[in-house]
Amino acid sequence: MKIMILGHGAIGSVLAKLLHKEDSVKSVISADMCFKEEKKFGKMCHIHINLENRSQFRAVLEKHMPDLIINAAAPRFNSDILKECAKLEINYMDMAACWEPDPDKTALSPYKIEQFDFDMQFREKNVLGLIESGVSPGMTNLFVRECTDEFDEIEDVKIRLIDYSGTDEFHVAWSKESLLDEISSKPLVYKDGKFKIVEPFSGEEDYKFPAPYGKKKVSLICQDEIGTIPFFIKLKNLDIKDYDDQVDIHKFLYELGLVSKEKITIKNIEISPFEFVNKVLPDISFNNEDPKFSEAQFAFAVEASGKIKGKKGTIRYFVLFPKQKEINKLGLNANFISYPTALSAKMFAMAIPRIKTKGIIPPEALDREVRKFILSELDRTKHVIVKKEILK
Amino acid sequence: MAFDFIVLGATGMQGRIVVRDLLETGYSVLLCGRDKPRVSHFLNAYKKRTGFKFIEATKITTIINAIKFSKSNVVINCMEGDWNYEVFKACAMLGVNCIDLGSEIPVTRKQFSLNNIMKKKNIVGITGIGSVPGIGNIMLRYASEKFDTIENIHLGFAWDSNMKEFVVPFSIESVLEEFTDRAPIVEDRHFKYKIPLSNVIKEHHRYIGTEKELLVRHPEQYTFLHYFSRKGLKNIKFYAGFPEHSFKMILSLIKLGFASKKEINYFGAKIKPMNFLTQMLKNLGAPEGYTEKENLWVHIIGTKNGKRRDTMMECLVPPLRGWESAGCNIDTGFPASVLAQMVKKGAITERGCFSPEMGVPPSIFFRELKKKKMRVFENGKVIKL
Repeated sequence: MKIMILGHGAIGSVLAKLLHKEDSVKSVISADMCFKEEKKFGKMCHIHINLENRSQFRAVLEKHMPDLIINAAAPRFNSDILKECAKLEINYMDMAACWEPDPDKTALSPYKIEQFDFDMQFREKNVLGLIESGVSPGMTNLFVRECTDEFDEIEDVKIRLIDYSGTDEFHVAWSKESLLDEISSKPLVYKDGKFKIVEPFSGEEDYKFPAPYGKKKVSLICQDEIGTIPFFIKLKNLDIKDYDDQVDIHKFLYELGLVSKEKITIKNIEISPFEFVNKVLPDISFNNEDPKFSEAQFAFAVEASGKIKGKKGTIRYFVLFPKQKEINKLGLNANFISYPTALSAKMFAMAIPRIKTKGIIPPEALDREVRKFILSELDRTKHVIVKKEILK
Repeated sequence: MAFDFIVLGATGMQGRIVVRDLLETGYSVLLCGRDKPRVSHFLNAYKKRTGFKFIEATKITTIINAIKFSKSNVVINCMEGDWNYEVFKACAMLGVNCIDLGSEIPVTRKQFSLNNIMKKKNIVGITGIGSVPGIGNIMLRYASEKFDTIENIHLGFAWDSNMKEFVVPFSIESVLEEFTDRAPIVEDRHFKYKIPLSNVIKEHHRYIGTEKELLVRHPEQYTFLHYFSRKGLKNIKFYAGFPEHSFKMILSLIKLGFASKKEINYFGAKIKPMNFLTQMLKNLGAPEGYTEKENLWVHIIGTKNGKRRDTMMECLVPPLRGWESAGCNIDTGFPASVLAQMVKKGAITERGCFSPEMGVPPSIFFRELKKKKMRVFENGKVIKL
């Protein structure tokens, strides 16, 4: 398989290294603005690309004609890349949607998953677009399907994330803009079969995670999973909450209006607080080697409740990814968020030859055999713990 | 019409407290500021006793014209301290009394240089009449009369709220500066400078509990030394105490770069993060039911009749019914209102430019504070008035 990764940032660079190690991957082309010229290292190749320049992008694709393109750059490029992939009949994968409000007021979900606009084209061209395929969204979606397949009828699905950095001091795991966007975005919940936009950081509750975390305060966050799952799995309620030891500072920025996109006037100048704060915030990059981050870890729980053969039951999966200190030993220059994301993306990418479905699909639409392959890959990854519990 | 008082900066937090108190006491007030909508409720409710004039601190003529228009002989300056000298100078020129909430040491020093001219004009210019500086200075004046010598003065404030929510302090700019600007201390009669955040201690204060305190810059270091060096004063430190929830958030704002005065290029326009933050927080209110309380304290160590004497003066400020939204800012606004009324009534006999530890009779002042439920304690006992 010849894979082109667009974007050589925090996730793209780690994903490239992970794919490079795979025997079935013949070549990995990493394309990014940061590469001045084309360079080859064994089966790895670095090329310059400017995703803003459509004709240059098309020329690069035509020259390399990969079997799969993975967008590890900003989601705002999804549509342009999808367009080219459909035209050139190349399989596509990404890790997030733009998650913009849907201009169609009759749409079921107030947020749009823009990749679905290309579903018909992809089907007609007999190519696959596997979207939202990182860790969250991505692996979480897959586990929701794993849980719900065991039920005859689904009532509630809860996705609970752990973003434990080991410090309440402010830091930026990869991009300031993405972080501010995440803080400012209003979460979506699916309640009684309907989508509802709620306030950020609302719905606070104590959630009891399996050991070693135990009871933690979680609150609603804006995540893509909710934009696809209700369209592929019949359920009544779905929400996504997060435990984050940086929540106080994120909440603080939100409550003070510092991440608002509504313009204010200072000295007759119209200012978007969001844009200004993006310039003010220090570039506190996450230093993987800093001992204060050694315990940093990402994990998630997916809990589904419903009826099995007329009886009520709850099933929970808990997936724990390696701690920062364990990730450091892998020599990937990855952090506790970029590694699980890149690792999950790698597993989805490796599964693509096995996927028979065509068109645009999220991970919860993968069939049992493909999921089994991904889960077995996850299971045999060092320091990744997958735990299944029957709660009731 | 001749107004009883003119309030500069009447649209700000402190200005509005002063205005409301004076109006509720029955006086007429000319309100001066930039943001008229913020005081329109006063202008509507007290149509016959209020007026509004737009002033711009950077344009002193707008202030001079407003003072002339008011025909008042007492100016209460509640603007940011940077303009205090210019306002005092204008008042000296116009021959009207003026009080303000205090400023930085260099500005205070310049204000004191107007002492002779103000004496000649038979007016007062009292700088620093809020909580600290203000009540603290008058508590020191009260206690100092019981000392032959004074060696050390430590003073400060400690406050807390009933809800652990971040509520914007009276001036976020001043607070951020207090946290980040080097803090002068007086050690053996000499000024030394400390970095506030490198000098954080934990201290217990009655009515508040134990909380973090840091050394901050305040004009008392200068005025106390100015008036009490003759009593042998050697050491002065000023501590600001904050509850953990507020301390943490202020620290976050600093770490995130909002205390910076370095201009940011915003699509060609130059904006200081501090100015941006001030604007953003302007309309952020307190949650319903939120109240604050405060302990203003002055600890004096010296001698009396050859024996060591140690006095802790405290002014405890509880939430005041009807004034909850102002938090413990009331202990800055009320003293200004009280002193302005004392000036008006002729209760201040001293003339010239000075700070409140000179020329303000403590008993009359404390009696007025008591009416606002603010009680003064000496070594844990309420002082008898």
